[in-house]
Amino acid sequence: MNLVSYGFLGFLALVLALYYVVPRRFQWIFLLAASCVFYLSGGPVYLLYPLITTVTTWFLAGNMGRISAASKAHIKEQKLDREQKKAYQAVTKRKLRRRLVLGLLLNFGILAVLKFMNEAAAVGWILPLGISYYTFQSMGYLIDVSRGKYEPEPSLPRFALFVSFFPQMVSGPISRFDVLKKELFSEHPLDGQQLSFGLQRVLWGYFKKLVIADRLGPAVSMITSSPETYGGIYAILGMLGYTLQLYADFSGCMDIVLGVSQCMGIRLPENFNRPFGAESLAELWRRWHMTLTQWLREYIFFPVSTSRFSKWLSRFNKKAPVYAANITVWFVTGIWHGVTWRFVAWGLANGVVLMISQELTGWYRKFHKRFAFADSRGYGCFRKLRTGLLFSWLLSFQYYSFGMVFVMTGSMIAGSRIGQLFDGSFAALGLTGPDLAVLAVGILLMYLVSRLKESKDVRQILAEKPLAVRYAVIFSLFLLVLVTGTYGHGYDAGTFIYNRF
Amino acid sequence: MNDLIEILEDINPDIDYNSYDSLVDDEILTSFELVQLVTQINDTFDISIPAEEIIPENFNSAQAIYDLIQRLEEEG
Repeated sequence: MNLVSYGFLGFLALVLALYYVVPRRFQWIFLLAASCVFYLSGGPVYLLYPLITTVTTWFLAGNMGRISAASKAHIKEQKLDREQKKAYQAVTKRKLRRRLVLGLLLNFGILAVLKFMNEAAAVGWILPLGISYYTFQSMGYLIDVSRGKYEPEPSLPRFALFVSFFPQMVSGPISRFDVLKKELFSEHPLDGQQLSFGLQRVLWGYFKKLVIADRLGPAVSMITSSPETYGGIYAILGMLGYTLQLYADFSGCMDIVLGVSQCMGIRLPENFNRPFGAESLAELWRRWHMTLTQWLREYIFFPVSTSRFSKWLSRFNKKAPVYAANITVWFVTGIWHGVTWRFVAWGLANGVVLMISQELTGWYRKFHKRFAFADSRGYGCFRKLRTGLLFSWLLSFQYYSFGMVFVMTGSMIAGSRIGQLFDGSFAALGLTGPDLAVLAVGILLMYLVSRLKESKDVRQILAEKPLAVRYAVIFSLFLLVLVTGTYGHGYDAGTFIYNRF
Repeated sequence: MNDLIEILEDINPDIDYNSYDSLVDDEILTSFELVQLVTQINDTFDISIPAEEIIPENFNSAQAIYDLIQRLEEEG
């Protein structure tokens, strides 16, 4: 079931109505049933892989919890001295590690095989929706339990809801168990404002997706898939359009997911924090797909940089551990997005730019001390623009082959002429005058809302306005989605780009 | 503590480490700097800071970092 479909809207209306009718202590059980229905709508086989992940992770985590508890009890009862305690803890740690490795190998193995078969070998095995998201979320839980960060969940159905909660399972955000369990398993009375805010956010998500992303989609796809036809100024338009489409698509999807959850009184972690307000690429990545970058930092970057291998590397160069970890993280990020060399190149290109920026940190500091204008607002705007362009350019590694990225960069710099827009080739992109007007208004609106959000939640600002103004704004947005949304046009309006991961 | 302040000043000399208490929250110490810091602390104090200890609470101030070092030294 796709988040942009009449089927989903009907399903959501039914779920919301029943959610507040069932006794509150059963709300989580109802959500588990609804999540199963949501997933089963694709066919029974779609439930198989999430079920394997759920059962194996729950079982291994429970087992690790019992080992840890028995170890603590033994140390307490036997009154071991310091050395004995250390030796006993080391044995426990080894037992936990074996179970952790087993869980990681099994679940990441399933993910790797399925993704490889579908994307690289093109065999066409069934790839469950959101497999990367729920696998990462479950493995984060397993690692946390092995580290003793929190106790494992004793109930299999409750853990199953953590893995399968239907709004977030398809595209994230990737949540942490200790945070999400408080939301999922507490009772949620009907709260008019939460419901209203949630629905407004869902509407805003549909606006970004249907009015902006899906309108840009076909034209962007034409430009980026035919570099031999669309060079020069078109390559620039394609680069910017691809970035805008990706942002509107993915952040719109997140607005729908977080809005749906909010309707049920459940808060999920944010995945975007105005990424294009960032003044450096590193900062942008801390604001874009935040739950994935946090996951990678916590479970890959820090462990790799403190591993024995990194310690050995640090004998040659003090910065070697950080760079080894950085390259590992960006390699995984690339593979996570797609098992092709283009995605690997895109990931590694980001890693290399970040390492160069890190090496230049000292120079940046000197520059800012030496020149007062570097702290001015104008220079800040320049940095934001530069960062956005760099991010956009790096994205071109996803849709051009490695060599073509540089050929097209040359074409953008040396071959761009305004006249190209008026030689008839623009019309072939299928964007009409009204389309361009809707895009201009839509992008401006998205920018203004993003600026407003800097100081206050836009829905809160709206809630403080008179009722007539509030309804006029919401109704106008609804009409905009209804009238100017892209439905069809030979382009699958229902597919979110980030669903495929 | 002086050794620790020296390491921190190597990473970013423009901060008053005796009073600053949101080094991670304010992104003074980002992932890159955190790892650099951990590597240098491990070498200087002959300890091994595990990945699970790299959390904001342990690195938000010089005092918190020092407390972590002492705790790990005691644990041996």
